[in-house]
Amino acid sequence: MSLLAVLLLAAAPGTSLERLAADVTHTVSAAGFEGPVGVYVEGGPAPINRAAGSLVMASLAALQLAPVPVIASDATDAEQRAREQGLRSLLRLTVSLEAPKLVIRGDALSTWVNFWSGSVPTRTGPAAAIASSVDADLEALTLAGAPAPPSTRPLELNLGVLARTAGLPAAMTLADVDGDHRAELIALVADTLVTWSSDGRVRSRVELGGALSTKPTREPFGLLSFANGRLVAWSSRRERAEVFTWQREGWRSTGGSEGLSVGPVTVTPRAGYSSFGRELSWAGKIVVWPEPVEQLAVFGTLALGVGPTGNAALARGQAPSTQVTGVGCGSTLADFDGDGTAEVVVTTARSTTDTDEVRVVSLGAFESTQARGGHVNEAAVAWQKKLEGRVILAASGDLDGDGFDEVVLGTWLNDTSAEFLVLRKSP
Amino acid sequence: MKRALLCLCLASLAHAGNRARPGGTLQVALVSPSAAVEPLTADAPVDALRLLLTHQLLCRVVEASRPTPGVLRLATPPSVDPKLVVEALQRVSTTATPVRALLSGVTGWAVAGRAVELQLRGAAPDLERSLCHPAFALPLGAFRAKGPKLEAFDEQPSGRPHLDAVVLQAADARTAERLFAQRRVQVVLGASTADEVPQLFVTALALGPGLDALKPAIESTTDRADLARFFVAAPAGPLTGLFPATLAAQGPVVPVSRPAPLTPPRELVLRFDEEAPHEQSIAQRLQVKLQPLGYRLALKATPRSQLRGRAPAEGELLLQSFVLPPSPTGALLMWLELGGQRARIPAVLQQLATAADVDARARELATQLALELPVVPLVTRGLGVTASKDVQHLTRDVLGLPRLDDVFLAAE
Repeated sequence: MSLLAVLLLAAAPGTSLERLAADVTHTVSAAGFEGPVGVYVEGGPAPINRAAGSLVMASLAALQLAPVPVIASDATDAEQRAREQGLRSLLRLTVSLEAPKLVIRGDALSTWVNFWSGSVPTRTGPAAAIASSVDADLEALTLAGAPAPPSTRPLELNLGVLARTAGLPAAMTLADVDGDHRAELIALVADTLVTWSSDGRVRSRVELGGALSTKPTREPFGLLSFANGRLVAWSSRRERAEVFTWQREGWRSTGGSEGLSVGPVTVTPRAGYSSFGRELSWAGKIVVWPEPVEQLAVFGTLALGVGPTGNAALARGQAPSTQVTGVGCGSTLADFDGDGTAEVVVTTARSTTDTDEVRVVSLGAFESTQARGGHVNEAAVAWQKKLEGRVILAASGDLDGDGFDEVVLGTWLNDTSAEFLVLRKSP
Repeated sequence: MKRALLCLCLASLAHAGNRARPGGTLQVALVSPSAAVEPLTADAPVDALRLLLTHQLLCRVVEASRPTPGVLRLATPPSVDPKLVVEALQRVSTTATPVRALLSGVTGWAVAGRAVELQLRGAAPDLERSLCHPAFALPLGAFRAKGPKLEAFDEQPSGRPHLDAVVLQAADARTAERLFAQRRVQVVLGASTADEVPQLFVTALALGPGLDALKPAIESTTDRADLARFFVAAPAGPLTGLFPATLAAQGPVVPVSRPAPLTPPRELVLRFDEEAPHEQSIAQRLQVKLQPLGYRLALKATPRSQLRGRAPAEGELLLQSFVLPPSPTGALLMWLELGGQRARIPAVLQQLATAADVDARARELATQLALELPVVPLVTRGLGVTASKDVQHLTRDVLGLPRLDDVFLAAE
């Protein structure tokens, strides 16, 4: 190896592509190939192929090996082209992203043809196998067209109190009712629909109307859903749901409603029980959940359903076949970091203590746990915190208009009051 | 065994983490000699508990309001027929037991839509809390009898209970303890426990005419704490005044000088409830204690139906057990009725109506009347409960009775 080659390698190039190029150059140089050297690259997307080729050729040029790009339809054709171009050596490289590694494979061969061989393309001279891999960095991932890598920064969340109520809330949702790009908190407390702004100020109170139910539930239970400017409010204390629209700083009732929906999923209450029936209508298609659903959170085409026995599952338009155990009903889906992928916020299904615990689990970790029917404790936790009381309700939305989701947890305290806690990403 | 028990020394156990888990059947051993209970005769804690599995306290069903000073409006939820409220009021007003005193401030009632409106005589203070008495219970409990089970009642006004069913198993105390140890039952009701529990179930001695001299004889010879400790199943306590500790702080025991023995001795009849073992024990104890003072008591076990509401005759003593409402005013009225002082009730109600603090005034009057009334309060009783760890959210109601309708079974 020449002194220059040693110096080049010792320079410890920064990016993963530069390190790969240095590895290849080292192999070529150590095997004693002569220039001019043809370089043929295939495999990955064109940008990363071109980048890898350019960097390899730059390294070879630094060693006076006179690199020449070879354009060919395949590796066999590249050898032919190299001979036609009068090159003495050829590198045939395949670049691939095998997350989290960037891999380069191939060979180096001598293309010089002995005068005495005539037209037969006999091979002479050195040859070498090339195989090298490095951790793919952001540059490589970008060139390869890969999705953004997971942030290596740990998820940091803050928990604060948004509002308090004297009674226990039956249902809760977050929705931008006034179009200011900041979600409001709407909760059903006894028979009153209370709306708070994102800074915790009460903006509206309105009483539910309609006939009382003959089969109420023992605990406060209900559903609030906001879509297309209509808020559908249902309390288990009432026979029917009621529709409201936001007009001048307050809700106005516009009549009753028969259907209860969370996004594309329509649910049916079970008289006397704090849960909805197993049979859900998902965009018109009947989906039978493994058990009654106590909490349903929808994120795009993804839904999280939690049952009364602490079993939960993620589903995309189809009934889940496996579930995660140990999940409380104060669970939901939220995109805290704005990467377009939901995180799963879960509470515990314990019923033997007076504290609860909220955890944030990545979607992949939750789905992996679900696939094997495991306990939620088995899923890697991105963030967790213990709380006083019971987290019974949870909803997500963008409270402060920053483009990231916040989660509001409706916590029942032992003195039959409640707190709404906000979980938001640390700045 | 106690280590294995979850003794209910706290009024409530918080349930946390998740919603109450629905479903399941609770196996209960019931230490109770009674076969059937009625609202007017549910005098024992365990009987009242049995009653309130299939019945509901009126105060928990209706929404009380006073649209005008002379009217108490009891609004009923959609699943409750107001006629049931009328029947309960009728039942209490026509009984001869002390509980009828609770309606002393009511002159009549009428159904008005989904409500029942009570016309009041004067202010009728604290009538709302007085309605929290088992005698007013409506047949709308959390459970309904179906074969050997009590099954959850979907149309319960307070909401369907979390449990699907309760299976009651009558047993004596030892059998109940064995069943619990073998995990064949999850709860024992009526078990003897030393826990501090609210005690509104009282036992007192009503004295016949002309027997006022007997009060100091009993006070000087009979230690109520001993009665409660040795002759009444725990949890029990001494009742030194008209109000148990749940309603008023217990005052110090004032020593009473022992009267001279009667000569010649006087023959008296002491009647007690033949179905109440604790009354028989107390009667026997009184017989022994009063004999040196010249009172010779002839003990007569009497059917409960004949005893309750009976006024003591000449030379007669009656042991009476009953439950007080969770209202000092209501409790005071019941003591006046038991002491044969019904005529004084309107005046007492008038005094209470003008008081700034009704409860405090009722306690003052109770202290005064304790000296005047021909009754001797003796002991209070509560309901002992042992439960396994999987029985969650076992709270107590205003009477100090465990609420099985709020219970749920934990998976852990």
